[in-house]
Amino acid sequence: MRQRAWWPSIARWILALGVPGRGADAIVGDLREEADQHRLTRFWLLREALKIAGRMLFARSVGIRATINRETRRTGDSTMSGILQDVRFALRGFRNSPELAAVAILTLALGIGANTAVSSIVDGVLLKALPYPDPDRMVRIYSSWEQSDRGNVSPMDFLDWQDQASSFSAVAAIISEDYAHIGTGELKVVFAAEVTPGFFEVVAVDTALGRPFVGDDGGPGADPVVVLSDGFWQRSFGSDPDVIGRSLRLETGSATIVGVMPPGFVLHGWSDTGPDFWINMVLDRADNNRGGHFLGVIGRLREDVQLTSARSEMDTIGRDLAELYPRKLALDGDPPLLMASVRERIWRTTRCFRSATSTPWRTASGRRSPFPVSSPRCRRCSPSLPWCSLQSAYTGSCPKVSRSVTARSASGWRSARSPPPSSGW
Amino acid sequence: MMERVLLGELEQLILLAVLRLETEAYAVSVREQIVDQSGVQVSRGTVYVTLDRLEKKGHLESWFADPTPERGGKAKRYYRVTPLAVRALQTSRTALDRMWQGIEPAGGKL
Repeated sequence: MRQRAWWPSIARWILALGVPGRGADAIVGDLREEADQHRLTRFWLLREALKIAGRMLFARSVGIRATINRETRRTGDSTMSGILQDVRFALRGFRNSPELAAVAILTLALGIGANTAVSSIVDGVLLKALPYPDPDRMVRIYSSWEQSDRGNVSPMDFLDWQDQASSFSAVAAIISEDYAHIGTGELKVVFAAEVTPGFFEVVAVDTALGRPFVGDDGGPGADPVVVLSDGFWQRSFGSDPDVIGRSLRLETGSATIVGVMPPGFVLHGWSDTGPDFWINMVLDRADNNRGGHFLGVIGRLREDVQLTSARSEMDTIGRDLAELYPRKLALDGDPPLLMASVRERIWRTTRCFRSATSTPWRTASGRRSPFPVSSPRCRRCSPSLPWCSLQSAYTGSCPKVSRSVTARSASGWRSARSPPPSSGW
Repeated sequence: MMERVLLGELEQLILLAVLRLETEAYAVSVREQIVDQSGVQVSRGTVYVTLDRLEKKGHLESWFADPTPERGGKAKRYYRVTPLAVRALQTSRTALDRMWQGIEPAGGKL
């Protein structure tokens, strides 16, 4: 049997862990000879190399233990309590078997490295504070219903919360969207976040150029305006300081550039690099859409409001909304679950309800332009799955524990997986 | 009385195999010799570990032959027994023979 050159090399490397010097080469030669003689595969060769290396390592470790035992008897210290003595024996054992020492050190290095990597991920994803001012004042607000206690929010619920909740200095709704950007004649798909004007108040980060969205940008009939990310500003506009007031050409229309965010500001948890731009989301009460849950909602607690107070307030609002819209009880037959809860959690999941909901809502909203590209989809979703799970770091978090406010809204017990009605409630 | 440490069973098998193979004793042939002559199945790892241990105890000497293309350019590691090993083998055999005395013939008391 003719072995490929790299198999013996791997076998040699494996055996070198347990066999010093030219001995490993000799064993590889032996294995190769037997493999050729008995027409055995290279996998057999590698397996045997592993077994032999393991036996050799084990035998050496036994030899080290025997040496330690002899030394222990010699010194009369049966407890081996002296640290210096332990260290001396360890060093002696390693000196006698440097290969074993190398394997031990390699194992330790791999273990420490793996632990460091996991710790870094846990710290960055779960424990590290959000990169916004006063992150412990930021909360994620959910709708809940029997199928999900942390679901996205319908436009009408959001507007009601925005009007009635006094615990927050600002609340904002967010959805992510792909747009077709017409730059220099070339069509490119870009990643945008549609946000209501309160978004920049919630994150408490000001624009580097121009202005953030203001209240009028979210009202019915508002013209589309965008705030560019620093990266997109550099890539598409060459960091032109006079970009404010220019138009961003999208496939379905144009939007006026009103601001540019500072470098490094991203929509944390939504994407690794953040959206290319933020575009104003227009919500109109005339749409009366309380059945389509597709908005992610974040809020910033007022300085003088505790989380428990905010929970109580959202509880009350949810109860009031349920009384105002009793029709849902008749439709679904579920009791009105009005409980609002504040829960501590270390892993945040938000769901995006994409293709089935966003387009009808936008159509019904009467928004002039721009419209999303024809097949709106979440960047992290399979296009075939209307629902997906996204890790979201929008949940407000103190440096150690994230918090969220869950409000069981009036529309909460309608299944969010069902398409929203074409007309509102 | 001088402490005498007898050879282990496997050590004896390997030393005897090396003796039988004379100048052609290397790990593969040693293992084949043991399997063929004694019927005892030993793993390759066991053979290598025991050869290594016997060499450290001074019962074996080894040297590397020239690399051959048939082995992918890898040299064979040949072994030969030392006088110390011969004495150890004799001691072990003598001890066992004495233990067998009175039990033979044909293991009548077994």
